[in-house]
Amino acid sequence: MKRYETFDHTADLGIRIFGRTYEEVMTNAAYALFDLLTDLERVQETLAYAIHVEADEREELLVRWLSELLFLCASQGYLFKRFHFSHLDHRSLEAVAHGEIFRPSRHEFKTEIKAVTYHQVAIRENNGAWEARVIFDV
Amino acid sequence: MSDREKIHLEKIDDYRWRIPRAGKMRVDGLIYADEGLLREIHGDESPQQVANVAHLPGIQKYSMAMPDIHWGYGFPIGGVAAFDWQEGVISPGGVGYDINCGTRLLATNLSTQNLRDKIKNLVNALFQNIPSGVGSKGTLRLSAQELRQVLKEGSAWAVKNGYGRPEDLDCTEDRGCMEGADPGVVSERAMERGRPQLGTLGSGNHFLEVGFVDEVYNPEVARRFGLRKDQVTVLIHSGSRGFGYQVCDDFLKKMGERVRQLGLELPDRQLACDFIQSSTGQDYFSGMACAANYAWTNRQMLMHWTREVFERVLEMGPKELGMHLVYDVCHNIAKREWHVVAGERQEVCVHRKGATRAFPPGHPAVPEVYREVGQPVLIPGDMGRYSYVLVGTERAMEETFGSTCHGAGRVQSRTQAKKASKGRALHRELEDRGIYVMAASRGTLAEEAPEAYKDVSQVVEVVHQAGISSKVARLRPWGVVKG
Repeated sequence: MKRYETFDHTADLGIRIFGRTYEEVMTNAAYALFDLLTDLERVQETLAYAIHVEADEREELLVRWLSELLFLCASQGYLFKRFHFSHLDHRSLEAVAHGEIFRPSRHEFKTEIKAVTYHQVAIRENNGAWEARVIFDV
Repeated sequence: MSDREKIHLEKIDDYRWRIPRAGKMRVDGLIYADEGLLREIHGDESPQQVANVAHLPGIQKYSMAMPDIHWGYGFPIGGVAAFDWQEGVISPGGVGYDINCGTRLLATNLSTQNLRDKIKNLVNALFQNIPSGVGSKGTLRLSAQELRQVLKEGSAWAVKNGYGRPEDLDCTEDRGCMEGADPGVVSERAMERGRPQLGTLGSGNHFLEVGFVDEVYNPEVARRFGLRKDQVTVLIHSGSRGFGYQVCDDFLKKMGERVRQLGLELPDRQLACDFIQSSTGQDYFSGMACAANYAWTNRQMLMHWTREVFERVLEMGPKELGMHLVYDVCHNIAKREWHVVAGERQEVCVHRKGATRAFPPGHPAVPEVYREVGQPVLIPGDMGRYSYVLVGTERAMEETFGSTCHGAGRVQSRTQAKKASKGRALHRELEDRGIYVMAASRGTLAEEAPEAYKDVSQVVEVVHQAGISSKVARLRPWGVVKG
């Protein structure tokens, strides 16, 4: 099953994320973010980082989750490739992200993502298949 | 996932199109475009976004869009909207993530023949000396205290610390310092992202371009701006980097919560806003001003290093080179300004998201040296064609809250542009057209291919014909540094 795909949005970058469960769609969204930022094959799992996010509803939770990850990447150079949730509902999550810190000798940024926008954000379930949509400002 | 209706547009004249007020819109929409551009505009959702902005409380006259309009998030890019300072709202989405993204133009004393065999060396040296690229970090190591000074003082901080000349401030919008900046409202996160990035160009559509004046339309005004045909120029396009993105992000979150508390009905949550006079509204304004000052300082530093590189590579002194700052103007900002609305002077908050201030002759905010002719307006195009210098007009003051277009505007998404340039040697193609490019990443270069943009000449023609700014000169790119 495809984890995500990008779609055209004139100035920005849209992604459509797929999963069999809500948890999978949240995991794949995080994966998509880092997959777009860098070549994940070159990222090793040398550290783990605990993340806690809260929001009023699940669309907002998705944006805040991705924003949190983007902030960790932009400020301290974290590159994550695997995610595990110890708690996840529609208003909060506790996760551990695995990866390493950006090293110029080993990694390269493919693109700059300025922010995760709230524009047309959506998560929905259809006959057991989950799909989400989010737009990055690039 | 969205079912969009096509918005109905009424033709006012060859360059103006009205979106009649409907539903909960508080004012009409107004789009500046010709028939050709309008067809492209109608291809995306930006007219709907113009209508959406018209729903916001306190909006005055029209929700407007310039001819380089394209689909943004919340507000369209190319959007202009003014809100009553007492009763209206302020919206981070109406400014954008890259707060005070803008351009500055330098004029040298050189003609193209002085540079012909040195352009490549010059561009290579600029590329090596000016940090660029995704997440680029500068050479500067600022303390938190120093960064707070930057946020409060803007360009003046840079000049005080040896980056540039005191007279640079005279030719910067707001003298490179927006009033009301308060670092106290800025999050630790923004400080953390901002510290290592001051003095960096960034990536995407940001650039540093050596070019020359290729055509002069208005010799009298060009002379006032210090521009002449065949003169070598430098155009710098950059913004507030991660600092501004974080300020925007922080306040979108806060205002999203406020929208729910206030029970405001918004057609798109990226339109999150709060009343200017509320504490969140005031805090956003102060935080945005900090980011604006960061961006002006950033461009001031980039310009200073550019001058140093020119001096070293060309072995010439500052006097001989000239390199005076023509102007620095921002195109992602919300400003507190006075305008005439329905015959009365009124204080408003003008949001320009991908739009440029274009004040007329005689306006006190126009630098003294230009006051007789009007404010210089800088319109960067794509790297293969042209950029323009325009001048502000009285008509802009009457119609658009003193605003005009900001650039070419995209027609292809970044993915489309990448696909279209697959297998092509863009470097070579541009070099065949006499343009030498150094880019931090090949991906950026492909995304920024000239055909990904509208023809800036077409955009400029509309604002010129509509009278909301007037053509002064056209610049051609020669050597480009891309992030």
